Amino acid sequence: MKSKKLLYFFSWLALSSGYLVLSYWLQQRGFFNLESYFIDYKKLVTSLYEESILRSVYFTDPFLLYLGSSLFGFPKVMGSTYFFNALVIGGLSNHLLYKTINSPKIPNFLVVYIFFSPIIIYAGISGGSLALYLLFYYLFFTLVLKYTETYSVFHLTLLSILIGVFILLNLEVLKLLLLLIPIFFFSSFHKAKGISGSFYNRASLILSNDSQRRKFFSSFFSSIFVVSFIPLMGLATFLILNKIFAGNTFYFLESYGNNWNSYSPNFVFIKDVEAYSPFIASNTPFYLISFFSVSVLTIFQIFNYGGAKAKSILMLLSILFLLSEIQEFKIEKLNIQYLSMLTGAGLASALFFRKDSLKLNRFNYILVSLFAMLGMYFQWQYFNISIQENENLYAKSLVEAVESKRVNSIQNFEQTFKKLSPGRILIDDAIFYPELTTLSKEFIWEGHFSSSYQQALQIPELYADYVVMTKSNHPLFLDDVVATAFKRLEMLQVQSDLNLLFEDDFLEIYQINPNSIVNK
Amino acid sequence: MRQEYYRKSLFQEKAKLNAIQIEEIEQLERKLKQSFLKIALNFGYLSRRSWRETIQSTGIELYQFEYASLEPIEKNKLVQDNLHQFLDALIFPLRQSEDNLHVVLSDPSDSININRIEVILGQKVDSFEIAEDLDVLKALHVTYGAEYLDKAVFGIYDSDRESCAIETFTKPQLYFLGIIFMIGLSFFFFFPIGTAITINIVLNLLLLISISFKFVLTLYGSKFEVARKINPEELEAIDDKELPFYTILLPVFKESEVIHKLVYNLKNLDYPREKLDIKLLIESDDEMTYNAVKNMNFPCVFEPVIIPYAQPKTKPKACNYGLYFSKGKYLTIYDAEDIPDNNQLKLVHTLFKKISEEYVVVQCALNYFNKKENLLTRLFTLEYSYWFDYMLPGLDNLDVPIPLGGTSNHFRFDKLMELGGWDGFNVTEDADLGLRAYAKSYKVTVLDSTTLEEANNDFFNWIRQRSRWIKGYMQTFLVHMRNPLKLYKKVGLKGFLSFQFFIGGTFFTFLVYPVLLVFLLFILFLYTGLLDKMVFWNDVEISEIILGNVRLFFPDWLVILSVFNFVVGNLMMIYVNMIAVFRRKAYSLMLFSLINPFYWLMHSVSAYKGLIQLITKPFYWEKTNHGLTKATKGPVQ
Repeated sequence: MKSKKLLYFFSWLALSSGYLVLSYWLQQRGFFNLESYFIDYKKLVTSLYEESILRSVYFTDPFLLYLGSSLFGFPKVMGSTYFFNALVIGGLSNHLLYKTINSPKIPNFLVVYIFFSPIIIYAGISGGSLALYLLFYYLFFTLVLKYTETYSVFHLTLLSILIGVFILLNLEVLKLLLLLIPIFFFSSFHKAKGISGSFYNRASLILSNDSQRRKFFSSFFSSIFVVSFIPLMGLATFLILNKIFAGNTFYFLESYGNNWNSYSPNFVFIKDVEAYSPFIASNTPFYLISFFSVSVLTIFQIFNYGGAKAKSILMLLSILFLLSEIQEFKIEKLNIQYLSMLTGAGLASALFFRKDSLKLNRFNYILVSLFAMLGMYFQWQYFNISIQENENLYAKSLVEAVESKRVNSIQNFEQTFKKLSPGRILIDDAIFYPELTTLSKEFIWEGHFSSSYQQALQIPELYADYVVMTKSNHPLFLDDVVATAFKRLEMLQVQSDLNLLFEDDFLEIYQINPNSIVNK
Repeated sequence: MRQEYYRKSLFQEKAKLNAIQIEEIEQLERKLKQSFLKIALNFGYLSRRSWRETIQSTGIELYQFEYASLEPIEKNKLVQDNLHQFLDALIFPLRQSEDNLHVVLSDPSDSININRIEVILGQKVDSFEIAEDLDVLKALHVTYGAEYLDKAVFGIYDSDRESCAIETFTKPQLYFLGIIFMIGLSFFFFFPIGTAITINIVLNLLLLISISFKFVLTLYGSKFEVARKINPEELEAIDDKELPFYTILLPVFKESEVIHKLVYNLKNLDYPREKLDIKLLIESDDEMTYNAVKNMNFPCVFEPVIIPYAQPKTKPKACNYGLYFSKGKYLTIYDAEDIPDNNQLKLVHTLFKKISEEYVVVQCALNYFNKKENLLTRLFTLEYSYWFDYMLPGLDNLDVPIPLGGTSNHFRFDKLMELGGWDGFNVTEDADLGLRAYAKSYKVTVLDSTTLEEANNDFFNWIRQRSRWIKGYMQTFLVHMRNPLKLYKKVGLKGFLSFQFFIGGTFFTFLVYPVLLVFLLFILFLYTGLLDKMVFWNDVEISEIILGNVRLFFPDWLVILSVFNFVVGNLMMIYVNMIAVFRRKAYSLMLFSLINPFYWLMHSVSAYKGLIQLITKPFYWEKTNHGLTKATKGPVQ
């Protein structure tokens, strides 16, 4: 028993190491992820200012990635999120691997899918939040399917906890409660005691009898209440914390700090909108290409339900649910984080649910293998055509080394400040967070979280020794509050005594003349 | 001269038993080796009142004992050694000299038993008086039961002094507490801010860990909810002939109102009647119950055992005394108002056959039949549902010590005797016994069969009951923590930690909860600025001034930690309550779980009452009044 546990543990470690090595290799070939820098920067500022803890809680999205990565502290070698992702996906694939090997009901070919699915690999190496999304969706669908078999409180509770925890990843997981409503409705027919027969028999008996009908609806609404309790109460707790410590129930949404997230990599840069246009135009079905290229296995599972009709219904519901979501918000949601819902659903259904009475025959085996292969191929195509820069970069860097201006700029920033004497920097940290993670501890900076940021923007000479500003090539040039502040000072004819130290395509680094305030 | 009486005349002609009943009783008489009258009275053939009337109708004047002046006869050793036979024969030797033996008996027609007693005492019965069976039993127990009584009270003390709660705090424990207090005080003197913050963090964390442990246990327990230990086919396959004797102990004290319900509930048990050994344990000074049983106008299905007076007057003492008169292979305890599942005894028997010998106790779930009577009974039902349906199965599945519930715990009788029975000085003797069993490498398991009880529907009655339970948990904790290392060696790390969080954590959370809550609410009240609005005549922001001082000891991050702790802790407890009644399909109770935090405050009141009693009167048994409900049995699925 112990040796099995040890073997399980070591294979987990081995898989995680594999993801980590692959991630490192890709990073050497030009792959990077702003989300990883963003989380590392948030970790850095958590202990920097007086109110940083609260603000980190309010304004770090995805907070769960931040929490998970807090366990790791190797940002200098590689971003901590890469370690966290490798461990999470290493654990998940290890678990799936053991399930596949140990169960005679699961085609062994799925091992290949687990190892080589581009989405699973990307989740393991990207350093972003996809690993958590994939884990969440896989667990969510597994638990729902298990509940349709057992109707046990245990699985309901786990579902509730799961959604409750993962609202820290994305509040929108609450929407999945809607997906559960039809599931609970239909399963409540099967929970009724003392009534047998087909679904229609049960339904007609239950709905035509007063007492049974009352029990049925009580059970149905109570199931929803049990599942939604932890997530909703979790949200309520968060709102209470907002109200007490910030004076506004929706402080996390409405305060200026919220802008922080608008620059985080989950949102599209204005410059990218053009690339999106064929996909987001209301009368074009282009977005369906991306959608269907990640859902092959899930669609196949609708038909390959192995005697468990609930599985087929759930897969169909999940596809329709996601389709409606993406159609509505294409800019925000036509990315792998959201689309991984179908990967999670496909994995959950492919690996676990087949009635004992239905044995796996050769034809079925071949079909599953074929669709798994097709699934992997289309996933790869998804990354090739993806309009998300990072997802596309993953596909490119796997094939050849890629040169990235942004990565170069980050390195330039690091090299420049290595040569400078320690001091205070005035910088828009909502834009330059990747650069700031490379600074040595001797430097301090005025950013969105520091209490004197506004004053520093008015009188930079008093608060800073260096200034960093974007250049017009930078995608966030228009959002740079530091550059804007200097322009404003210029308009007001307040001359700043700046000395250009370095510039590249994206940024300019100036030194402020320490005597300028005296001269004024 | 002894007057002759005849069974036919007394029982058939006067007491109106028919021939079939007489034959049945005679068969049982041979099988159980008890007197005819005893079987007629205790196996549902004849009511005590009608027997009294029968006797009186023959012109006999019933003998009235002067219990205070009863003296043992010269051959008292013989009576003590053969007390069981005297009890079965319902004969009390009143006076004895070399040439004369005068006895009090209940059935003058029972020549067989009279002869048997004559053989034991070695002389003929010269004359006799006739008394009611209960009076004879009481006389026998109070006069000759001293030896058993002594064992019942001091059994654990004599055999395993370290496990007895007779001493609340040992000297090393007092020294330890004193040293901790002094260290805390000196730290507070030299580093007041750091010490205040540390104490706050420690208390908050312990509270959170303790609640989280219960939440995890609940989750773990719910994992196995769909697994049934005994399936219907196994139950069907039981042959009544293979069933062993089963003892049911029914300790009662001033519960005359529920006796008739008790008989009704016991009659519903699906177990061969002749194999049931049901003992109603009545305290000798409990005239109320005594008279209620005496005056019952319908036949009983239990055998009364009168417990001689002795302190402490606790339920475990009564049960211990009852043990010496029990003959079942298995033994269980029910309260007078309990309604067990009718197949519970058979389920337990089947389970005992399936599991290994190391399992000595099976705990069944408890729930309430009057759950919808008022708010208190609803909250009580929520609590019991999660405790017995999830927490105890959680402990069971983790293979750690299980504190037994008050009733419906079924023992292997021989193992129970080996364990020495219950500690008469511990007011939660059941929880203590579960731990002692585990410490001796025995195991306890749970069974998904339910006994319905009467939920306390009166606030003050509830406080009394709960204060006893919490005091008992404190006693149990102190007893087993006299030597923590020894406990650790006996139960292992897992068992040791679960003991700390489950037994220690239970009373700790109730004691700490209100203190932290009041403080937190006060700080949050200051944060909201409501105080400034209330003091509208003053322009100074008072709340800020107070907050400024408070922040010294409780900085913002600590307040956040506390808020998080409280919100999460309360939500967890609300949730476990909710899912427990969801499982029992008592959907209408689910929303009541939202007021669980107030229920916790009630626990805290009881905890402080229990703590005070632990110091002032540790063995005092806070009596819970039963029979207050107006509800009848409502089916809980």
